[in-house]
Amino acid sequence: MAVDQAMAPGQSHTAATATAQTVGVSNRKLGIWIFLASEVIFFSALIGGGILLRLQTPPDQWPVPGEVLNVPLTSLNTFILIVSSVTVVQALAALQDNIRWRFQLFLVCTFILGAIFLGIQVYEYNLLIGHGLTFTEYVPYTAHGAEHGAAEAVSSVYGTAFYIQTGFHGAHVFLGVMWLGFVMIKAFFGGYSPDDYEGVEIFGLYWHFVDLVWILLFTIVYLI
Amino acid sequence: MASISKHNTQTPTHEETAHKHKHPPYMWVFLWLVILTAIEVFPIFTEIFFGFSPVPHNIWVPVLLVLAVLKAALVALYYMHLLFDKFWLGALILSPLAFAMFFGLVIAVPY
Repeated sequence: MAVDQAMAPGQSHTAATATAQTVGVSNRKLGIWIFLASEVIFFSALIGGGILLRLQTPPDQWPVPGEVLNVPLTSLNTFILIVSSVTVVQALAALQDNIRWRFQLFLVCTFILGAIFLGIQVYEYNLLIGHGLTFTEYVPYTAHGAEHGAAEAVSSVYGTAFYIQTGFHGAHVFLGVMWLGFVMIKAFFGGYSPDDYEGVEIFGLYWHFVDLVWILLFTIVYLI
Repeated sequence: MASISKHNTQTPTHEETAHKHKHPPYMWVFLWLVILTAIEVFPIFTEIFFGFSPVPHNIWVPVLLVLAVLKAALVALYYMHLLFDKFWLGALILSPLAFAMFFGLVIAVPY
C-alpha cells in the first residue's frame, strides 16, 4: 500500500516504509493495537465487575479510602509507573535520534522502575494479608494499625475485587518487565536502529497501556 | 524525517549521526500527569496526615473520575501517539469500551 502522508512524530518509520502493511500501518503494529483492544474488554470487565460488586455490597463491608489501603505507598507506586512511561518514550525518542547510550539507559531505567513497582505491590499485598485483608476475608482495621470496630473477620467481597483487579494488573506489569528484558538484551547486542524501532515502539504501546489502566485502577480502587 | 548528515568522508561525529526527529512534548505531559496525580491525592493525604479533608468525598468523586480520564487521555494521545497516528486506531481501542459501557448499563439497571 502506498503511503501518501508525512510521518507523524510517533509514527514508525518502518510502518511508513515497510511492505508488510494492509491498512496503512504495519501488521505488527496493527496486531498490538488489536491485542490492546482485547485488553480493554478484559479490564473493562474487571473494573466494571468491581464497581458492580461495590454497589451491591453493604457500605460497612466496603472500607472508605485510606482505611485499609496504604494510599501514600500506592501513590508512590503510581508516580513510579508514570515515570516509567516517560522513560519508555524517551528511550524511543533517543533511538529515533540515534543516541544509543541514552536509548539503552532509558530502557534500563524502565526495567528498574517496573521491578520496583512490582516489589512495592508484593510488599503491599504482604502488609494487607498481615492486617487481615485476604482474598475471601476482611478484618476491619485502619492502615495505621489502630483497631476499630469489630475485630471479627467478615466475608470479603472487597478483598476479592481488590486482589483480582490489582493482581491482574500486576501480572501485566510482570509480563511487561519480562518483555522489556528481551528488548534490552536485543538493544545491548546491537539490535534496533533509527530505521528499525518498531519493536521498541510496540513494547512501548503495551507498557503505556498498562500505565493507563493503572491510572484508572488507582482512582477507582484506592481513591473513590 | 530521519536523515544522516554526510558532510565529509571522515567518520561522522555523534552529533552528525544524530537523527533529527521532532518529538511530542513528553516532559510537559509527564509534568501534567504528576500535577493531576497530586491534585487527586491531596484530599486523602490531608485526611491521613492532618485528620481532615478539604473537600467532601461525595463531591470529590466526580472530580477524581474526570482527572483519571484526563490522565488516561494524556497517556493515550501523547505517549501512545494516538494524537499523531491514524484516527481509526483510536476508534479501534475505544470501541470495546463503548460495548463494555453498554453491557455494564444493562447489568446495572435493576429489572
